[in-house]
Amino acid sequence: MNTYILLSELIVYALFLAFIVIEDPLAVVGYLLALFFGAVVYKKKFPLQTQKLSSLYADNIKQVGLIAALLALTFPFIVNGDPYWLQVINFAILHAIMAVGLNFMTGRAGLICLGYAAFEAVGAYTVGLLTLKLGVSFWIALPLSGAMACLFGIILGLPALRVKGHYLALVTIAFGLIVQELILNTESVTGGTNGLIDIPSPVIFGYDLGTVMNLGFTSMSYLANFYYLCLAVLIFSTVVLYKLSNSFLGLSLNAMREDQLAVQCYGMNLTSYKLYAFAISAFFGGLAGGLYAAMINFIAPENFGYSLSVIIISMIILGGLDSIPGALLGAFALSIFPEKFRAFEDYRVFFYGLIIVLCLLFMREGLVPFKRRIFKAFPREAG
Amino acid sequence: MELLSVKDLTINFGGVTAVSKVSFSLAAGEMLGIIGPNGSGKTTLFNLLSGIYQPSAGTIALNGAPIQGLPANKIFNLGIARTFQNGRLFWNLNVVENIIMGLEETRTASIFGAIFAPAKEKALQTQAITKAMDIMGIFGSLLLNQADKIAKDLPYADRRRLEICRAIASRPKVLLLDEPSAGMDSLETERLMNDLLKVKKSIPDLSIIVVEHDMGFIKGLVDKVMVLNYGESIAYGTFADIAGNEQVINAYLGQEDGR
Repeated sequence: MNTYILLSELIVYALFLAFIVIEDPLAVVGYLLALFFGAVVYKKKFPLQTQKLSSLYADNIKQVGLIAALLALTFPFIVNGDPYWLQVINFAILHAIMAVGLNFMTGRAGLICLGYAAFEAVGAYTVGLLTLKLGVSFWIALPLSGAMACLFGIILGLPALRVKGHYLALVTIAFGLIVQELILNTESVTGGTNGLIDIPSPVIFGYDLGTVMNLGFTSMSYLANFYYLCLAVLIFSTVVLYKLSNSFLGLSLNAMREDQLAVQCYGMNLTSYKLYAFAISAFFGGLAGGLYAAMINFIAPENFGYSLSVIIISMIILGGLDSIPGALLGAFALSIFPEKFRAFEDYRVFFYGLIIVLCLLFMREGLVPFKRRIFKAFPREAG
Repeated sequence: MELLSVKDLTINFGGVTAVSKVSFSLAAGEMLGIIGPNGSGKTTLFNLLSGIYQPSAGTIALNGAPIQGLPANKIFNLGIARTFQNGRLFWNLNVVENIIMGLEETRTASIFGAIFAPAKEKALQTQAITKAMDIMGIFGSLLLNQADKIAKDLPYADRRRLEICRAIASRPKVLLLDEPSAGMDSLETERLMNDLLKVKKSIPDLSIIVVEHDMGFIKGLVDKVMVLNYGESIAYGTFADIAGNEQVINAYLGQEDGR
């Protein structure tokens, strides 16, 4: 295990925890500015070290992920089972699952999607309906929520095949609205505006995740159970999408983003690759929805509106398109920051819009730009 | 038997006939040059051959089997690869990846393999990189030294070389080169000619059709030349044959109408 990676991750984790502790909005702004300028100054003063550290991270990505996951396990204990922060972080994790999923489609394959919340809705209603009305176990319903979203991804993909750019964006907005309206209007099944109430909590080996987590020495809110469940799904999503991104499929989708005509002339069946991107991406949106339904126990159409789609896309734009670490960072940042500025709640969507505009104007590549290519030449022997 | 035979190929865009009744045939290993003034239908002909456009009439046969009307990806998989006039590389991918996009591994690799059979995927990737590096070797160390560079950071001439590498990566039967020397000075053009001769030498079976503006470029390279004007083939033969053809001279130099 590399000490530098461990140490730097510990520092980042400590800074993050410190951020959570600070309450006063002004202090938060000061803290963030200090961090930002600290990072900028460090980068300027020690360019070599920065370079070294970033290549160290890039070369040992598995170790970085493993350490981060282990550190994440400690979080509920550190906040001492505080339901407020667990709730916030759980939502951040759900957003992160959606962000890495959407990133595959929009970042890697270059297919813009402004209706991603629809996939979360499909997943949430799949779990809600299956567990509530049919009594199916959550553990069967969760993968089905992904599969169902996959199916909707293909349904969206089919009409979207013929359009690109702005028109694709419009089609996906329409898709998001259609799904929402569909849920509103099939009242007998989905409950319409009333939504679905009392969705049962998952039970594993007789242990209900909706009950207090009692460890003997300490007891924590039921949200701690969901924290670990969501974290597991996030790790699963990240690993799967990381592998797919670094495969031939990932390369082909990257090439498709660059030039749709050229990839066709190089033997790629554009139709199937676009559908792969839609379906794979939708799958993770569905999973996030399934988790959401089980955790909150109550879902209604307004939870999955257009603004959620915009929030998710602003996360991946902030983090850097086609960058999995970027998507994760963007999701956490944009889920947690607003909690610190509750007083300005009404401006939340304004704030997201502003971030998109500022990123597109001044920081095209986002916070964690993706520079690493999938395939690299072997070092050649001299001569 | 002829490798590629094109008969009466025609395409209309609305009322305009961009390519009209063009016929030619190509044997394995043969090199055909297509010349003609701007707007004479050279690139349109390529778009027809590579499946980007569907012909209004006429046939294209590869090894005797008709291929007209097939989508671009199928035509590529049957063995006709092309380059583009303006160089359509995958600009944000690196050199190796651009070539790998031309390899068949890219299209045959299983999606689920990437998740469930990582060892096999890894082996395939290593194989693909090896192949890509072998192909770059045609141009000596020119590209190999820049193998990890992003395509858009390559010098102009090397972009052309990379495009050729990407096109021959799939071991096509027919290679279509769309104005490979466009935008190059005479020195670079000469180098490119040598490069093409190298490609020719390393893959003797490869048939090449090259669209060009530059008569000098064509002259030293091709076995046969076809001259297009207003979408029609006005001359077809060896370079010596067409060089003396009055119609060709008119099309290229303009009629000497009593100035």
